[in-house]
Amino acid sequence: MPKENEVQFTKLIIVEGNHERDFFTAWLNHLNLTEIQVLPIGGKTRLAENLRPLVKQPKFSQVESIIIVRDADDNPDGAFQSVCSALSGVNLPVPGSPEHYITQNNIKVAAVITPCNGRVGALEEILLETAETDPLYPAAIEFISTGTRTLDQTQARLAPPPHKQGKAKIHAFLATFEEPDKDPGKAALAGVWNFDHPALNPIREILEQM
Amino acid sequence: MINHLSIENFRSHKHAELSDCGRINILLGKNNAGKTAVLEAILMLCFPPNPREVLIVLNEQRGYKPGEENSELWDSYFYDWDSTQAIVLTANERSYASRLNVCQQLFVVAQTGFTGVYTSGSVVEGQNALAKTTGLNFKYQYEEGYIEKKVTSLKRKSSQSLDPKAKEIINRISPIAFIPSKGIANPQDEAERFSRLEKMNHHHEVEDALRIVEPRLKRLSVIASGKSSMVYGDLGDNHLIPVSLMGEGMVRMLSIASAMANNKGGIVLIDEIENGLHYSVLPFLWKMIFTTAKALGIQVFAATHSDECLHAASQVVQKNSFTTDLRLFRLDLHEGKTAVTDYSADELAVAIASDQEVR
Repeated sequence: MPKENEVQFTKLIIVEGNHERDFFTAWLNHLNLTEIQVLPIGGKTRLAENLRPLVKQPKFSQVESIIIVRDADDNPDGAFQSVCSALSGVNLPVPGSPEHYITQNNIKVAAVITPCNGRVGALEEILLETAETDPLYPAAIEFISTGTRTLDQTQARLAPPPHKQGKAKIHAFLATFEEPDKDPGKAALAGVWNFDHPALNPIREILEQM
Repeated sequence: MINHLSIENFRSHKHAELSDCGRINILLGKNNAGKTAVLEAILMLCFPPNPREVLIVLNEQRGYKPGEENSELWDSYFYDWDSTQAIVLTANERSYASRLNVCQQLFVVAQTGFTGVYTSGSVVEGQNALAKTTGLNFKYQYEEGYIEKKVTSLKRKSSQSLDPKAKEIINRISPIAFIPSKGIANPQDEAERFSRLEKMNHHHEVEDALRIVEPRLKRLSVIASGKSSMVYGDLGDNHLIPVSLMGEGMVRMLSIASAMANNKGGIVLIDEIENGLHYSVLPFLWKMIFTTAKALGIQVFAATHSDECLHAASQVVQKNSFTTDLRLFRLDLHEGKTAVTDYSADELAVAIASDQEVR
């Protein structure tokens, strides 16, 4: 039986964890891009060490293209440099800027720093944008905004910092569904997100060029 | 310890190199990737200069009957069965031969027993005259110089004449043991090995190892019957039982533990190490191997297909800080070439934790 993160395909998307894996799996299915494998082995602090055995896997020599996806958090440049350093550590091509491919030695590599275009935050920011026409969207956004303001005034406890507001809002939004405990990845598998929304275009273009 | 091994034109390997070998080396790869061939190459290079015995061992391991001779055997050792290209094995370990060249030759055999290399036109054909036979010429390079040996028959000899240089080398070089993947080891050999350990009062290590598989074992004993002898085990019943009747796991553990205890400063080669052993035993087996190898200065090369075996090795290494002692080598045959991918103990641990494939 193949291992969960055994390289099987020639096109790989390396993501941070299972939420991202579920999201990309659902989206790729929607895009009918079925020859791309999503590997959740790129946790922020473990990308470099997990890449070392990845490039030694039996079928890695057949890999043609790789996208590494990670959140910008509060430092998009730092996140990109961290990915570049991990790629360099295993002698993979290092892209010159986020969301652009580099091709060397017959392998194509790109780093996608979500929410893309140099913004702080995470993949959740983009997912929220895809849900902005939902009737419950304003209420969920307002709940977190009001909560943050209240916490700032009362000093009762720390509110989510700016780069984690997207994560907070998405959980508030997902709590409005019939099954209120889904994470963003499971929500993707359940068809919550609008995969055709223009907010996803920067990443879609990269996926289609794999 | 062998740090670097190079294999040319042997079995499935046109060319293969293992670099930065460690105290314990695990060989991985698909079926027919050439894992057993690497073990055989090490045996051929490091065994005392008695190539006939090595070839007999290799043939038996590959399923040929003891002493069987047929023309295909001579070609079978060569890459792609092409005996026009010599086998060349090299290693950087001074305790053994540093280089071995093996080539096929046509020999002449006189009735006196003299064997010489056949040169076209030098042999007078005729009844009761010289006969031509195919064989292999082995040229070993030792610190003391070269030793050449010819093998024209694969039947065991009870004794062989040795020149003083060969005797000196045989007395000096470190021991090597080869534990094949399947079958029961010769009970007589096991009995002799165990007797040697008992004489030196080291038999307890082997008994402790066997208790991992059979906790009821009280002691082992060599019992002679006629000209043969066997290792028996006392399980607390009213009679002792031959270890060979206790199950494959006990036989396997006896072979491995006894080989380790008997090979101080040497090399132990183990093919498909997990064979016959329940997965729960594997961490204890690895603990015994690492501990004994470090204590006695033994280098181990072990082949496996088993994921459980790798998990057990990694678990033991991480728990006991043996990380610098373990190396993994995966062999991949691709378009006739052997690609060797090596892993450190830490890379193995990361691969296991992130559920990645290494085999």
